[in-house]
Amino acid sequence: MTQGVAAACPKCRSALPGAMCNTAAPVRCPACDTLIQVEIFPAHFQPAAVGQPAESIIEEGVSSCFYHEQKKAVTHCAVCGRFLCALCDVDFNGQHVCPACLQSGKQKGRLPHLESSRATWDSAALLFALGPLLIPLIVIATAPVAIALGIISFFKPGSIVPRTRIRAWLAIGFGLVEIAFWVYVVFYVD
Amino acid sequence: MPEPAANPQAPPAYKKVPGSGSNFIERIKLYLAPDHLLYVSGAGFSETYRRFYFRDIHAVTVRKSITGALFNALWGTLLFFSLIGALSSGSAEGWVGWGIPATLFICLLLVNVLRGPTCVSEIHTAVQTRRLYSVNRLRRAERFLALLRPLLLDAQSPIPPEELRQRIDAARQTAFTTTAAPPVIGQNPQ
Repeated sequence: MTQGVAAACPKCRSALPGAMCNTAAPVRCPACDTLIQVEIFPAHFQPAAVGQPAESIIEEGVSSCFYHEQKKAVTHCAVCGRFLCALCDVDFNGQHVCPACLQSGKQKGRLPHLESSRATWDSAALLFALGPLLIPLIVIATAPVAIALGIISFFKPGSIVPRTRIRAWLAIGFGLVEIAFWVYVVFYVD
Repeated sequence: MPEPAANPQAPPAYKKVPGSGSNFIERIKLYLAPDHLLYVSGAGFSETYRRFYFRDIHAVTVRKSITGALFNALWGTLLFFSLIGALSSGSAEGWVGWGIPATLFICLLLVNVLRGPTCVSEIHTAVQTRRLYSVNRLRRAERFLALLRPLLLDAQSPIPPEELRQRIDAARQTAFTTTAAPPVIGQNPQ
């Protein structure tokens, strides 16, 4: 759904009257009779934001942009503090950030709002600990990997959402049990 | 020059939205931050994050699906055949042998019935539409909408509900009256 486009049934895509949108409970689509609930928000009718052109400096004593000497500074970067013109001012989550900080922040994972993926070491450890149980012979190789990944997960940044350490502890526990089992089988069973 | 806002390097506090879903490859969960909805898809070794800022969300749509009914039919059929097997076995071992899968199928059927009808939920912004796999039951979708609605209305410029409906109707009228004829191969567009 884009701006100004009529609200449509999510199944048959027929245009819906306003009375069938933002209802408290699901309603039936008049065209396909499917039970639907369509919630339209004010942003649907707001025009797209238009960027400001950078103003040239025409008088002395005015701060200039760090990246464009001839352009007037309108704000400063919330991360590095450099003066920025309207062209370099990136509105990032309600703050003003320069493109360089945005780029480096994304690459080095310094800006959590820009992170698009993370390795989950604890899940990988648990997968290595439990997955190969279906093929018991390879457990002898995967159990040490599970323990190593479980320990690594304590020192690496985990998920950005709240998460307990239970997976890492379980992976280490299962890994130790699997190794103990194999040691017992190899050395003590005739 | 505007004063810098809160530190952009500080990670936001996330609160889990009840429920999780799967698209057969990834496990999907939703989290709420003060200014955005975080869509987390995990595939064993890594997590991928997508952020839907409250001010950018245009619409949320929900439609009832037949997945729940199909699963009811599947579990019901398997339960029926298990009961037939148990009745026709005529021995205690047969009753036990068929009783175990029958108990499993009756549990699956009961859980599916108690969780209520299934649905397909989607979130719409100006540039994308994304299916919310974790909001896959009608009851959960209603609770999700009740949770999200006030946050979105707070973040966006307020429009009274009546005016919003009038705008939806106006967009619908415009869609009907301004639809151009489809292009014809070999003819120059006018």
